Amino acid sequence: MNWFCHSLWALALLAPLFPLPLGAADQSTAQSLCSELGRIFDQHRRSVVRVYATDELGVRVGSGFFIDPSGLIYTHAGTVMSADDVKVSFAGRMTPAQVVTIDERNGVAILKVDCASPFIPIGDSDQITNATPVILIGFPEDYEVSSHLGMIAARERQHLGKYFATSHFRANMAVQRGEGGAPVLNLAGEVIGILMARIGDGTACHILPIRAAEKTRLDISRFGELRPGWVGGEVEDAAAAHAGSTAQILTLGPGTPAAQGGLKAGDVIISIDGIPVTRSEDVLDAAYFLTAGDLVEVIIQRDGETRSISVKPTTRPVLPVETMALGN
Amino acid sequence: MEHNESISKLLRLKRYEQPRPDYFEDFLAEFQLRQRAEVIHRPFWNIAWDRFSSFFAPLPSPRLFAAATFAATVIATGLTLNWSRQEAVTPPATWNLSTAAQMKLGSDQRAFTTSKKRVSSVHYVLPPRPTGYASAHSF
Amino acid sequence: METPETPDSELVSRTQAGDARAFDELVVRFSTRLYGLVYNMTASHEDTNDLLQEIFAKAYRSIKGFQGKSAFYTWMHTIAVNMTINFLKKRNRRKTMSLDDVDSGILNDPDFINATSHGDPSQDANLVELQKKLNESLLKLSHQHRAVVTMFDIQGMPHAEIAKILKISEGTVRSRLFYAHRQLQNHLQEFMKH
Repeated sequence: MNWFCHSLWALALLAPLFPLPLGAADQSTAQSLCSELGRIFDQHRRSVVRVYATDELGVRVGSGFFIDPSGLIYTHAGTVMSADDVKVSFAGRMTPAQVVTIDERNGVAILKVDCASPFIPIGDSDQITNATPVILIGFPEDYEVSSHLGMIAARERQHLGKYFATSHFRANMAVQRGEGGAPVLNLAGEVIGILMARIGDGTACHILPIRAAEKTRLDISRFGELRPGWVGGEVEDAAAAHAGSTAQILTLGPGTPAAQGGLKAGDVIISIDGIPVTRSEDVLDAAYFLTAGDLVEVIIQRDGETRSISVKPTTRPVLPVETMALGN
Repeated sequence: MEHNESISKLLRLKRYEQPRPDYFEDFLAEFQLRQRAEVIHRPFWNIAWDRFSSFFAPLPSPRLFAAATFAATVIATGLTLNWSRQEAVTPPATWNLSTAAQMKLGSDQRAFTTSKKRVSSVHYVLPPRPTGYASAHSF
Repeated sequence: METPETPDSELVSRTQAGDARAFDELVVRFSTRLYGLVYNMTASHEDTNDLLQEIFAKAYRSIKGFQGKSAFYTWMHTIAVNMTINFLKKRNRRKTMSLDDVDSGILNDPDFINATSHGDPSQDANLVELQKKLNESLLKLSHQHRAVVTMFDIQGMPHAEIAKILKISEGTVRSRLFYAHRQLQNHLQEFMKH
């Protein structure tokens, strides 16, 4: 048992000496919490891998994890970007890996090794609320696979004035170099996020919600390439709310999907593809999940009336990425 | 002059305003990452032009001279390299993972070593900021 | 026994010959030297980081054209100053200062002790106030004047070196410094002991 469990046991044993309300029920809570945390780590540590990427400048080392039984791995784009050679270490051996795709929007890379693999089940990152405890399992520096216990502080859209491509969890958890790409699990043992960046010196961090990573995997599955969707509109916050939203379209590019679909400057956006919008900043997350070619419903308020407009996003102007199609 | 000395002394104190200790370590890693990204994303002609014009920098009208020479050589070498690079990236119609695996593994016969001769620097990845950014108000 | 540092000129030759690792060494050396220069001109850690990355990217792209007529140190500083001034010209809104963490060594610096001994029990409050006042005053200077003050007063570079970097005469450096000091004195009067 680790120091945390030792502390809880010490507290439980010393309880009769102090007027503390620590009875039999609390002892079993402490016991079950310890064993639950230990169980999650033991169950999923073998699905977490160390990734080595080599090029003429040196070696980059990060973490990653299996997400299906066929050897598919999520890792950090920064580890494998433009590498000549990628290898993955798990089950005591080093295996070559192919880079399936690198998504520079969300910082995720997907790798594939040619063997069967254990994997971590995917959870629902939309259900994560503030003050949710989470476990990170990763490879810090050159240490063995390690676990961290932390808490989700909040969902953030930006850091130091720059907006992320999609909102990230900010978590209070000590993280170390080498753990970029490590999985973050809820206490049900499902992965709900991927470690993307440390904040400052690593006493807190930014975690990409797993749903944002799954968009990457889904695009590759469907199209063999990434297809972020773009409609060509700019929004700002109106002075007053209409139907609960202040997100008002400021301009539309001529000939853009937004214009072609029938959106107009002045329309107040209530929802995009089912994602509710209450202020202009909310379009960030709604926009992230758009897929070029997939029709979406935009609910707007225009002249006091609620309307539904169908828009077909096109390919968002984005940097080219290396991709290979997933097998059928 | 006395008042200048006082100003100078006060300003010298600003040299204590420093970033945190590991900042410069991260700085080099970020620079290397940008170098790599630049190799992927800058068009070949752009990289070659920079090399050419810096080569001719000492001349009185470097740009004119460089332009003429550049135009002559780019047809011979640049297009060929650019085409072969694009071919490596664009997958064929019947591409699937097993084809990709055979191609990649076949060309990589070297065993991975951690000997000092081969590996010159090891960087453990956890950047200080996420990879992608967006404008919050456009979609 | 200490091994002598490889001279800049050798690292430059190796970079020009295609050795990317040699340039890495130059980045490590010059990032610490140039950080102060860029930061004190821009008053922002974020901007400094982005600018420094651009400066080294430009240096790497142009290094084949460096012929060694001036010291590499001068060449790098020229690139840094020019890019920083260009950046400041484009950045037309008034920047709010971001105060970097101040190294605790400042508390033992005799100049700091002299400048802030108002009998105020809280040294921390004095430090923040002084930092703010200095930054405000610097931002009021023109880009060119801020450049000479940064290099001479903060970085401690000699007039001759500043003249080479800015490609002006030493006399012009001295007169810009004189003018800038007078402007700063006006802004910093309450902190002046003499």
